[in-house]
Amino acid sequence: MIDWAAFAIVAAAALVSASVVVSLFAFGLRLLNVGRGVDADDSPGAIETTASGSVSVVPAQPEGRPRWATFAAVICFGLCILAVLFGIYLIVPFFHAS
Amino acid sequence: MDLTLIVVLVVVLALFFDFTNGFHDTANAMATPIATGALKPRMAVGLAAVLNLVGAFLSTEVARTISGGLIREGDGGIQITPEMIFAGLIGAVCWNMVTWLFGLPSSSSHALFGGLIGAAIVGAGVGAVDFSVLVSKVVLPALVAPIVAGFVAFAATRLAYAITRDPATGRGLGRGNFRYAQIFSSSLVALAHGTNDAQKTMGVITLTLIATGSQAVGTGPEFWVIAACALAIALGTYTGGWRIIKTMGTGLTDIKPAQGFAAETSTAATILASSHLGFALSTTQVASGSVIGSGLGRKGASVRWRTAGRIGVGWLLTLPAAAAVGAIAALLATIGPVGIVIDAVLGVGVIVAIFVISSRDQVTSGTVVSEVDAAVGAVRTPKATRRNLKKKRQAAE
Repeated sequence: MIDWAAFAIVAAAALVSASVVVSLFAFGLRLLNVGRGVDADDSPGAIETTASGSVSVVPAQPEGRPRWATFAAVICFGLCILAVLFGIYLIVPFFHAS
Repeated sequence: MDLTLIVVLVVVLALFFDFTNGFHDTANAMATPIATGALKPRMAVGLAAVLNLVGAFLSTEVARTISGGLIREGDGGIQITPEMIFAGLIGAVCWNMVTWLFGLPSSSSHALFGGLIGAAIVGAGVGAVDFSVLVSKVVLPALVAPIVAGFVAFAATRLAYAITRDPATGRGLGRGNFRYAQIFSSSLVALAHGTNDAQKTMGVITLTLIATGSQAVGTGPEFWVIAACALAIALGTYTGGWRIIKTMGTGLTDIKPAQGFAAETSTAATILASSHLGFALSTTQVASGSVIGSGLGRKGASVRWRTAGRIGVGWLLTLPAAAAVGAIAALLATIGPVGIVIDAVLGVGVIVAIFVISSRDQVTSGTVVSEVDAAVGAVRTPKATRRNLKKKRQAAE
């Protein structure tokens, strides 16, 4: 009556993809904070980057922040952008029409 | 029976249904970014409207399979008449208006299915409805959708908080920046919504045109149908169902940027997985489940289960209530043209009445942001009255 196998696949795919994307972005934010102070939890004043909306142009702290951390953060955000593009690919039937 | 009149009525009502669908579902994508301040309310609904408009033009796959076997049509089945579609639409529109009045996010597709089922039962008997398809395609997915989405959002929220926790102090690191990501995740949800929901109306209008012989059997929606549906849903989205945005954004739980991003990513992931791996789930139910899941996932956050319960009751009632209204409308329609006119007048009456009732306690773009943001806005500098100016001068001296 109900296709439980399809249901399980949908649930697993959603769980894995959402977890991966959220983790990547979270790691990116975490890496940008390596060697930086603690912010007030979630307060609006904590925003200190990019008014343009592009996440990769975060100005690096001149001192106390290792280069590798910035590099790794940019990779994390880049993978997030890829995930968004894949989402658009899935949404637009033109790209994957049979 | 004047066929052209009924076709015009169906098209107008279908477009209005599309409009209600738009303002009902703005909340699915935009409730959380509005609540966390990631997007200004007007900006958010504007973005959602544009993405819905674009999305509506992207595909007509769903429109071709609108009834999805739910109502046995074709050879050996029943003949779908425009009168029945009209009655079904009345049921769907009335229920969408009622749930909007109460600020309940409810599935517009369920309302549409319910209305059509009710009308079909009156028009062709209980045998017209395939109840096993109804259970497997509508009832069970409605139960599992919020659970799956809730679990995914719960896990994602936990991860987001765990990764951004400072190991030394246990405090958050840059969590406010999840706001930027929210813009992308909610935009994806809005685009996915546009490609799906406008098509239901396209399907209904096309079905009517085919049933009345104005269009060849087996052809897709005409361009003017696609354009009209896209505009109707975008307009509805831009109007913004602020009542429902308020319920989803601030009524279920207090959402912070990390939660909002986790919830929307879960919504987008669940919807995309369900539409591509063959297990259809309702956007509204997935989005609501995600918000609740993200509320459970953050320590110190609480979920208002009373509100969640009200939404749940709304979901249970959606199909039977829309079916009942659809059935009554279909009964009236059996009288003939006079019945159709009575239907139309009653339908417009209900819509106007609900708008009048809703104007008593208006919920607008200004009243949907979380209480903290509202409080910040409320703290103003004292008015420059003569007394205050005098005080100021005295203090300066």
